Amino acid sequence: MKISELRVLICDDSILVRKKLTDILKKLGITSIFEAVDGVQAVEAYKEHNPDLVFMDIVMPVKTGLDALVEIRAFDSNAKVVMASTIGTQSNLVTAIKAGAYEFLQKPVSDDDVLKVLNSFIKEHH
Amino acid sequence: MFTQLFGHYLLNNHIITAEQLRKALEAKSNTRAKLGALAIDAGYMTAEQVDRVHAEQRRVDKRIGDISVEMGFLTPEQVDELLSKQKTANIVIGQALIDLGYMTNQQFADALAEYKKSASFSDGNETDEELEKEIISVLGLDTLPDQKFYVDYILLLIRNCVRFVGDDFAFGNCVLGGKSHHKWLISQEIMGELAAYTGLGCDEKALTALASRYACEEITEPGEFAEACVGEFLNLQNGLFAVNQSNTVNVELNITPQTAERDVDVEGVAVVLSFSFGDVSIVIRKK
Repeated sequence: MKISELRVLICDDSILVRKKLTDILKKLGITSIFEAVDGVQAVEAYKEHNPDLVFMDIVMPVKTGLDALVEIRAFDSNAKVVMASTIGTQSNLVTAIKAGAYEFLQKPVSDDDVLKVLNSFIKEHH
Repeated sequence: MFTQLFGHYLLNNHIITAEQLRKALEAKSNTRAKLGALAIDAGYMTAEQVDRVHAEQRRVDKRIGDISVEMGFLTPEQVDELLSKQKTANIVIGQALIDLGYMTNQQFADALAEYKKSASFSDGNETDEELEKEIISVLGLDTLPDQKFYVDYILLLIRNCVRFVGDDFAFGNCVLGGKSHHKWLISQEIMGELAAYTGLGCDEKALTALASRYACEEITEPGEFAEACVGEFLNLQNGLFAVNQSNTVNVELNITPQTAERDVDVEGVAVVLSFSFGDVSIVIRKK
């Protein structure tokens, strides 16, 4: 699988973060990009689009990213959910890891951060 | 942090006006500290000696450094030392004020000497403790309950402004209590043991400029996208604040999604940061 073939879901209530992440993914040639603005939409979008990777914010309205992570993993135990948050406290990290997060990124997320995650995903699924 | 504190000192002591400070902050990025101002800052030359060297330079075609050595004011080693500081000097704000004609060399020298006497530091290598002390003194936070919380928060926000927005700002007014009015207010709650209301208030021009700088994109109008950019900056600030508190005092904090409001009065400590593009108020209310 090539990076450009990946299907990616971005879940963040900030239009800026969604735009920045979309720009980074598009630069890498990815065209199958889906968006959600809260935890409820994130779970629905996962079920609908079955993405390879999810970038998930933690602090979101309606349902938090951590709750959405738990629901997505309950639906698909192989789901690869990358938590991307400004609030990288010990307890959030532990909760995310226990809930099966694939990776934890501290915001603001850089091009390099995204590329590293995508490369390691591709390597694992080669 | 010299620019922010020295700028506040000049404003507070009515040495310059807010408009003059704004113009100097705007000009700062294109300004290089000159040898004369650097020599005054280092205590190697008086303002009068600098003026004499400048007068001499109008007569002869020589560099300021060479003239200063010839007139016996500086050694060649001191000239080299000062020139090496030119790019990184923290006194660029003073140079910009001199270049714009808002201060003479003498006024700059006097203000700098007075500032150094009152400040607990001035060399740009200040420790966190020195910075905290200075912020308490400059903003008059001495009597505030939960002083440490407010200082930690403000210090982090200043650093985030320098890192993500720009260092062309100085501390403006600080209102310790009561309500402040904001044309646009982006707010977010911190939850947990150190629960607090936090917000960034500004007018339309400052909102779009702040958003534009943080997002590194041209934003010309206020609206959902500009609000989201400023909201994300506040989110970053509060996320990092929570991480710092978790690491240093083992307190776990959480934050709520941000909200944007227009034309609101809000209660809390309000610290104005006077950027070259306009004023941004930090509003904090510890619960």
